[in-house]
Amino acid sequence: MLQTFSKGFVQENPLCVHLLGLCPVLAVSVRLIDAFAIGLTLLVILIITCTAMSALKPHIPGRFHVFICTVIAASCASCAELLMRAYMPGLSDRLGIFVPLLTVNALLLDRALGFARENTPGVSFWDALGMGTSFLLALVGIGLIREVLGSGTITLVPAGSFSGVIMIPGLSRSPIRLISLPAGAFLIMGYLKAVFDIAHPPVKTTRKENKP
Amino acid sequence: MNHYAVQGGKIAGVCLAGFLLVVLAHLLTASAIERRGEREIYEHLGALAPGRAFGLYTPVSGNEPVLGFYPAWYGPEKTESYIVAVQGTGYRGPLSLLVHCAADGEILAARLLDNQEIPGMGKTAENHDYMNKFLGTGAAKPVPLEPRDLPPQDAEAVCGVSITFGGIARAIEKAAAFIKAGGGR
Amino acid sequence: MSYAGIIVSFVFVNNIILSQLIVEQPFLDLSRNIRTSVSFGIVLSAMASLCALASWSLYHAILLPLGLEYLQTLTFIMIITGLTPLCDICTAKILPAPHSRARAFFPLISTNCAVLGICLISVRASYTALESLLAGACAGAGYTLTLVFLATLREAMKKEWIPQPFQGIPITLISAGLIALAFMAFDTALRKNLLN
Repeated sequence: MLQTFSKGFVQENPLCVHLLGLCPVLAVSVRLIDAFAIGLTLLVILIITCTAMSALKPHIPGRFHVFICTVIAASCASCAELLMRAYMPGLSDRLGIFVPLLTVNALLLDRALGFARENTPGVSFWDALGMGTSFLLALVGIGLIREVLGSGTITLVPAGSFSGVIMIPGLSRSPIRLISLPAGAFLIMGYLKAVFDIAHPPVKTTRKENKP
Repeated sequence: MNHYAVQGGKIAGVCLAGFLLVVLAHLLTASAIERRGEREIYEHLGALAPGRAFGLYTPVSGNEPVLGFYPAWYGPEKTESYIVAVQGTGYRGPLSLLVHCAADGEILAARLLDNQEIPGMGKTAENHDYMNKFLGTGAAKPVPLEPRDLPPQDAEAVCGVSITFGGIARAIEKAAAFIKAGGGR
Repeated sequence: MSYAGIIVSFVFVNNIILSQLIVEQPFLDLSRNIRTSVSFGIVLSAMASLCALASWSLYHAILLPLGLEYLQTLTFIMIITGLTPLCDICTAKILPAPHSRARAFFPLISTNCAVLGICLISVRASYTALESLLAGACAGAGYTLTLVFLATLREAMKKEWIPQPFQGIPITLISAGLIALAFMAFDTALRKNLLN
């Protein structure tokens, strides 16, 4: 169980190794807090969908698995969007269309249609928790890099007299603006992936394609 | 045949459960979303025109980009002014603005609300002192529409984000022109 | 927005990959060669416009009158995952066998976030029926254009020496970033100057 939970952190990290779930990573990693929020939302949706999918799989014929999986994920994503709009308005304006788009996130489909289809609900739960957490950590890391270099700030939650934004001296006056633009998202991801490959050379495995 | 009916029933059941879940979430959040919208608008109005009494929102049609306005009254003489909601076009999409105009069209305050500008670039227009360059214009003085109409330091600040600046400036000018031409009375 | 505005906007200015970043990992595999990217692009454009139109009709015929706007994500994804297998079966009936290679793309399309993205965008931007049909087709065209550019670059790069850690995915992402940088030239100013 511990192994199921922890395998996602380095050697099977969904983001760094397989580049799954690229959409939120590229689009909402401009601010640290946005990256954290979308990662946390995906973690919750992932846990619910994977557990439900592995519980339901014996009752549903195989060709409807994609349909059922997206229906479950879409219900969770809609609920998340409504809750965000009600209680975290600023965040929901910034994340916009990317919360409903979590429905077709590649990480979610890969885990729910690949791993969860072959395992019991208990194991799938731990797998989803581990994968979601490691995705969250990687996403927060990229968000931090992009925000520090691209805007020269670190946005956290405002509390009391603290406005929630840390200005980095020097960088905040003349940041590398390219990095906060869409082009910078691709460039940063490319360089990070290269750095990750140096640290952990990819093992040439015959990873089973879980393309639904 | 019976087998298919059971399978279909199960799939329909999952879909129904999904629908019910979203409906439940909607019921829980609907009132909060509505209250939040109202509270936000009145917070903005209070900040734009402190110490005034506000009337009800009046939508305006056929006068794009002006969407509507709130009348406001100040002091014992009930000096009338207007807070106009306008929608401009920015670098990456629509910009919604609230512009507080005196009855002769002079800009008293303005604020950028929803927008899709780029953080660190166009987004800096959300800072409240960004709008200082427009204050006092609109009636006798024309609204600066291009960076070259601004004093040197301000022109330097919007250089490179001139599309956002232009979008905001044109929206503010339309709001002032609308009030100046007697809209709202 | 005018029709010309939608075309310029979705193909160049707000390109769904390069500027809106509504993209998932398969685009890295699909941009391996020009042939694959063109045929995937055609299937995607057709499906995106069809799904955009279908979800527009559903939204304006059922959801909006009943005040159920919050069900949009759920119903749109049901439309997409339902329509794609149907189209798959239809193309199998209509097209002769050599073209059936394109059928391999249908499973990828039913879970492509660009398709759901364009359905949601056209409803949220309150387009008309024709506009959302056009928006779907143009978003697909923009996607194809990007894939073709990327595939061309990748084929050219086969002859070049690339540092070992950058081979494969990293260099593809960096190329995509450079194309996105070039596409920044198509900003809103272009649309304004062309159309006004």
